[in-house]
Amino acid sequence: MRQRRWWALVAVAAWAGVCAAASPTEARPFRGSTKWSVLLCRFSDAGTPPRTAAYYRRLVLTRGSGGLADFWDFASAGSLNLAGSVVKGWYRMAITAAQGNALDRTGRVEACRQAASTAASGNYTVPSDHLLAVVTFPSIDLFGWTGGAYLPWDIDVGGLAHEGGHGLGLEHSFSDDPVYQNASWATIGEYDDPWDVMSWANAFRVPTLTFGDGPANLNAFHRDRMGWLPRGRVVTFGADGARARTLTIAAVDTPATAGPLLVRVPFDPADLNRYYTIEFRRRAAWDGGLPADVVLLHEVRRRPDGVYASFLLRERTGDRRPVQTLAANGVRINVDALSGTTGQATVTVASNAPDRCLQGFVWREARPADRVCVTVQTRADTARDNAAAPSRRNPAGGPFGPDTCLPGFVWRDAAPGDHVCVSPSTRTRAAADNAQADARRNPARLVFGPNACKPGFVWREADDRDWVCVPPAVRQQATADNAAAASRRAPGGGAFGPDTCRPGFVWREAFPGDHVCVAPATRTAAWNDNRDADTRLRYP
Amino acid sequence: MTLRVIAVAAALSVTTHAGPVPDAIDDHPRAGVMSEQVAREKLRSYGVTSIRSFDASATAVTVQADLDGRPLTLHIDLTRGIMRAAGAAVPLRPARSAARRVPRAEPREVRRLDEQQRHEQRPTLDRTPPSSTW
Repeated sequence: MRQRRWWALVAVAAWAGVCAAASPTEARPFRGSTKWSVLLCRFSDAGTPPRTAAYYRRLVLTRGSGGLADFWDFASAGSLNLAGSVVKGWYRMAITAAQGNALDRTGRVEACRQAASTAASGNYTVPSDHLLAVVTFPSIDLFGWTGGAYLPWDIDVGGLAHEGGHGLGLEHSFSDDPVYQNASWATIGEYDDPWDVMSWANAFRVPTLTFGDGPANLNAFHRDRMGWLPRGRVVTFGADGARARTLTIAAVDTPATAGPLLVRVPFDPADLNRYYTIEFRRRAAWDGGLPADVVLLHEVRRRPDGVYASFLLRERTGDRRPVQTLAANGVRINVDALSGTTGQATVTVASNAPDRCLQGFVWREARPADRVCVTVQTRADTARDNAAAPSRRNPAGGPFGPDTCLPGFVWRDAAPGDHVCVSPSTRTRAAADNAQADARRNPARLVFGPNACKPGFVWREADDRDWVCVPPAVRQQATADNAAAASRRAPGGGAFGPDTCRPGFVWREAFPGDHVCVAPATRTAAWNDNRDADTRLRYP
Repeated sequence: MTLRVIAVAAALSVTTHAGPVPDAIDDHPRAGVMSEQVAREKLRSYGVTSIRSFDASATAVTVQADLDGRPLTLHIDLTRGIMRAAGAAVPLRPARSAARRVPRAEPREVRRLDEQQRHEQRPTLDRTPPSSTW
């Protein structure tokens, strides 16, 4: 009878899973509260769990405890919090640990969810807008998915952050080592970026007092991907036409230090989301477990599944240190110096991207130094015109000197002094190509990183960390609202403090703490734009 | 029997349609294995000194070393990175000398947690079944 009841429960639970709306979510860029329901479940044959629910509340929820809430506040620079999250349990499941082991992973999750929702006291149903974490005693499995995690009872902050990162939609990090395989189930290079929590358990860690190992920070690509870097602290090298420059960059844990927190160095005209990254990490705070202060270089590129990921550039010999000098793909990077004391590092970067053409164009090469970007056909025509040049000049010269063309031909004038004789239409085309030169050159201008918008959308830019893609009119509205903010606040403040709005206006709330006063319809639109943000991104 | 069939069918429906764990239906963990480099850095960050032996297998490392001046045998589970002193149920806490590197924690909270940790740290027999599935 007991066994029969158990199968009945599983059936109900599974059907509930079918019917329930699948909850969150691969949402990015993301700012605000991520709500977790942490369910503590013990198997029917288990004794008393070693740790209380209060312990897990401190581990997950309590700011200032050195737990998960502190880590995400650090990693997101205040963009992400866990407000609204709950820890519930311990619940007793209807199955033994052996029966739990026999279930597939969906079944394991549902067994705990069901125990919570049917408990005689303190029953709890996971809200549809919550991420779900299941903690079991004893431990039988560890995995995460976009929307939740299944965890052992002695999970540490690092493991929790890793699986929580999956819950936010973050993928694993990689190295560029073509022969490294971390585990039999890992792909080549996967989990080989120990400076990033998304390579856990192969990630550096710092001890906490109570919660086991604290994770290393997210690497800069992951923070950029989540939209947690200020726009003004991200540099795309070459976008301004610079070909070589020495940059002073700031360590990620010292945001008050001047300098970019991330440098993107594009190099592939065929893929504008493929680039190198440069970041400086100090051995401090959550990065206190790193071997040393270090500048890290990654390549961001598309994986076979279409998703873009970061690949740490590592030496191939010795202890496979992070590469500190790079010369590849028309890019040279050299780490010159770094100082943990000042929180700054200097890096020299050179790139030929400013001289390269956008995809579909090539240098014309009417002369060896001619780097006007034209179609492949035009370059071929140009080469033919050059070869035919002597035959098109008047042997006797003429009113324009020895370069006078035969009747029907004119000078090409692709550049001053270009006296190759061509048809009038070719000269017209050369002039048109010259006029288009800037628009066809320098793909670095068009590299906007992981939160690049689909055509028709632009960043809202309500503040310097607002990467949400919106129609251009919405950005204009946000700019206008920002400009009018002071005039819309109630003089002397009011019921909501000094930011209280005048009648007819409400806080925009495009992000936590956004107290710009706008019309109510604008706030609703901002919420909707946030909700739709990930559907407007150009790159997966 | 009928209920059992319903349960299996329902579970399959979860798997193939709108289940809550769409990425996770496989036999593998979704985490990596700690490398020797990371394991040695962990020992350093915990204040483990005088490492006399470091014996690694595919899934674990056994270390003979000192912590706070006391000789210990330590076991590190490489699939999770958790380190325990031999015979302890709960993970090892860092040496006093290493505690300064701990990420920020409010001082009063630290004292309270410190007391709790001391209580939990008392060696007990680990009755947890072998965690062979990850």
